[in-house]
Amino acid sequence: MSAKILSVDDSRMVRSVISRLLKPFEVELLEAENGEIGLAIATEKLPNVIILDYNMPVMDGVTMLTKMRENESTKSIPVIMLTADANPQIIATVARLGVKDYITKPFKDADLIAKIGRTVQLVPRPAAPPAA
Amino acid sequence: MAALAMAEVLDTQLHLPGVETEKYSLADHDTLCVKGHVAMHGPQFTGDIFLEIPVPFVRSAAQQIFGFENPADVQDADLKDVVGELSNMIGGRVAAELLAEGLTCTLVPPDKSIVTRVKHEAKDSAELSQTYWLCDGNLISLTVQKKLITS
Repeated sequence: MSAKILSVDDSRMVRSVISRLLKPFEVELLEAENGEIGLAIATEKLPNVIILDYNMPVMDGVTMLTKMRENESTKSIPVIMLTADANPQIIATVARLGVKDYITKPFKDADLIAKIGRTVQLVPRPAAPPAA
Repeated sequence: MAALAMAEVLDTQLHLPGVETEKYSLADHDTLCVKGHVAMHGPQFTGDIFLEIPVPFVRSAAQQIFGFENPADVQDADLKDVVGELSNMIGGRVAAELLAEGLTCTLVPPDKSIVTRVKHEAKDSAELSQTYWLCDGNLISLTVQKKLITS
């Protein structure tokens, strides 16, 4: 069974980079452009891991994370924060909310894949059969 | 202050080396740029970061990032998204450097626009640093403005 990963970021660039990085793996990738949409998708789809930005319009990452932790069905979903903000107050807050990891942007492709791989099993997609 | 942040962003996100340069002529480079602006607010200072990248360079980067076959498929919203996120990343790194100096701040989500490149002037008593970078033959400008709050 493929891992279900939710990427929540207001930047389409970041979501595209994550999509490209995960393409070689058996992954069902879900996307949201803010915390409000992310929370709705997390509640409905129960992903195996969420890659979450902090600074977003409508609902920021900390608010989404707080609401997830208050909900029985979503409170245990592992979250990896991926944010440009390295403010120690934010880091302390998300640490209290039990995030699995914290990655600051700009990030190296290999670092992100390694941290996702520590949370869910990333199974390589089988090679496509040669064209007839 | 932002030199390391700029070099790191160009290298890790666009996979292109950027070199800070003092030898440039604005007349020799595209003047139409995508601008990202990130405001910083803290108890001891306010600040702004402006990143300006020529439109053709951003179009090429956006084409690769979003996987468009044709450069003409890249929309203005795509250009602004890329530069907005790059300026946000630089803002995060600059904020971290300022924190090391004991200055805390929060970052405002970036605003983005397509503008003619200008030379920024320091406002009021703000401290201003404007640097130019060459990346794949394109001239990128980065401006950091910081004003201490005096009580």
